[in-house]
Amino acid sequence: MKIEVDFDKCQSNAVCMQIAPSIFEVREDGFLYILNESPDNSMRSIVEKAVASCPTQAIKIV
Amino acid sequence: MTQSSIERCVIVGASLAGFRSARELRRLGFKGEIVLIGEEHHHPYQRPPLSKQILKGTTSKERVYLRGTVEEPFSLRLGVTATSIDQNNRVVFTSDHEDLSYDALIVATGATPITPPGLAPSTRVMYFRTLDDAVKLRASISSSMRIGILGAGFIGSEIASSLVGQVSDVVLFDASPTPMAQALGTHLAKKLSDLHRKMGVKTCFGEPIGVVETDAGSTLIANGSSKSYELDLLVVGVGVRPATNWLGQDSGFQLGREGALLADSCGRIDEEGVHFAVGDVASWYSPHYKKNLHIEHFESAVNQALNVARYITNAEQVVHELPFAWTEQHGHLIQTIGVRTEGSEEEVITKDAQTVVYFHDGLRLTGAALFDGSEHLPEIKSRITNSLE
Ligand SMILES: Cc1cc2nc3c(=O)[nH]c(=O)nc-3n(C[C@H](O)[C@H](O)[C@H](O)COP(=O)(O)OP(=O)(O)OC[C@H]3O[C@@H](n4cnc5c(N)ncnc54)[C@H](O)[C@@H]3O)c2cc1C
Ligand code: SF4
Repeated sequence: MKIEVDFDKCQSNAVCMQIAPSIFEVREDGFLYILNESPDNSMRSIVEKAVASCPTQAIKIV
Repeated sequence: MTQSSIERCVIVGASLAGFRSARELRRLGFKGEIVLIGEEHHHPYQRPPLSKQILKGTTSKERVYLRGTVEEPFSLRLGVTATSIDQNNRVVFTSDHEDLSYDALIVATGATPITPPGLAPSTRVMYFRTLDDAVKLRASISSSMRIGILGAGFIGSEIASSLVGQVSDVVLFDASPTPMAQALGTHLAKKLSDLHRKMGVKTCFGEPIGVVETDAGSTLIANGSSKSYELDLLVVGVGVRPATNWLGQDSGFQLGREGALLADSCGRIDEEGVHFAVGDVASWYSPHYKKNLHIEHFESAVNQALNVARYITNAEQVVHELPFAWTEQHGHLIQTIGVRTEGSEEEVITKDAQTVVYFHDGLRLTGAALFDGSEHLPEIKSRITNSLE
């Protein structure tokens, strides 16, 4: 599983970070960082929840 | 036109749709020259934060610039306006007189705010579309100000929700009794109106408004049929018009009802496949709905940009997504997926603080609006797609 974020769409509201803090982090500089771009499959359901919950639909699993 | 015969692709409009087209062309291996012409002086930026984080003061100007690197650069000519084109000879004329010939032209000039007839220009009246507008409004507010917002569509409503609490009065005017009903349906439109009032926005809906300036020019008076409001500033958000004037009256390109360039499902606006249109200026044919749709939202602008690049390079298949939009108001997230057709039936499902409204047109489910219900989006999306097949 590979995670892709459209950084132009991302509004840094940290919804994904609340769901999967080991993967997404919005830092002090206001930007989102992906901490782990290729998490293993045990994380799939939690990543899917982040994908669905992102207000702007900026996250994709490719 | 095949990609190998395109030596120069000119893109007019250096904002979301134009910039993303250029980036995607390069990413997909387009070898020709790319020139991006943009009227604004800023590096291409995104507009959604303008009416939200910028007005609330929670983000900086720098944060809104579009990101992404390009392996092979393209030329970005900022502060330059395209003034017209010669379609037959394939030339774009520009304000700096460095006219450009092209083998492919992508029109990405977006839309500009409509100025209501009868509203005289004044230093106390402003429009809201650009980063400069947002920075100017942010800099001019003070806690004692009374601000009126004319038009309670997506942008007017967002401005109201961002300003309330920061200034003395926020008054939202709209001639329609339930603003936003066209996009959200009557149930959510009413919920949003109630929310505005609960959060302290004064609403004046369902009445025509006349605006006059006092003699000394120190105040505006907005006259409704039942009440008058004294204002220090009026922000106008009564809709936008696709920016096609520069193409000339007899360009031969077809315009839809809303004035947008009619494009096929790959973005072509001519028979030869030399001229394309993307973003707010365009109305693409939607294979899902079997008609042209004019969508003025972020997601469509990006999808169309990617699709035009796919088509021109022939590197990937064009992908048709359902229209999607989001807005944030008073801390709530509202999203729309698909479209709501006029007169469609509303099926309202409420669970805890979430509401989902489904729009049924006869037997078809054409769209839905979600209030704080984001996690249901993937499932709703497939329901709509299946129903449209
Ligand atoms: C305040 C605001 C908030 C928004 N919030 C949301 C949101 O929350 N969610 C959402 O889905 N959508 C939102 N949108 C809509 C979204 O931003 C637009 O759909 C998107 O910007 C369209 O991109 P575009 O590139 O087609 O057009 P535009 O962004 O309008 O860009 C067109 C560019 O072309 C330039 N141009 C025009 N004519 C010429 C010319 N002749 N020569 C050279 N350059 C020219 C213009 O100066 C402009 O920079 C918002 C829009 C605004 C204004
Ligand atoms: S939820 Fe979406 S918009 Fe918010 S920070 Fe994560 S990727 Fe960005």
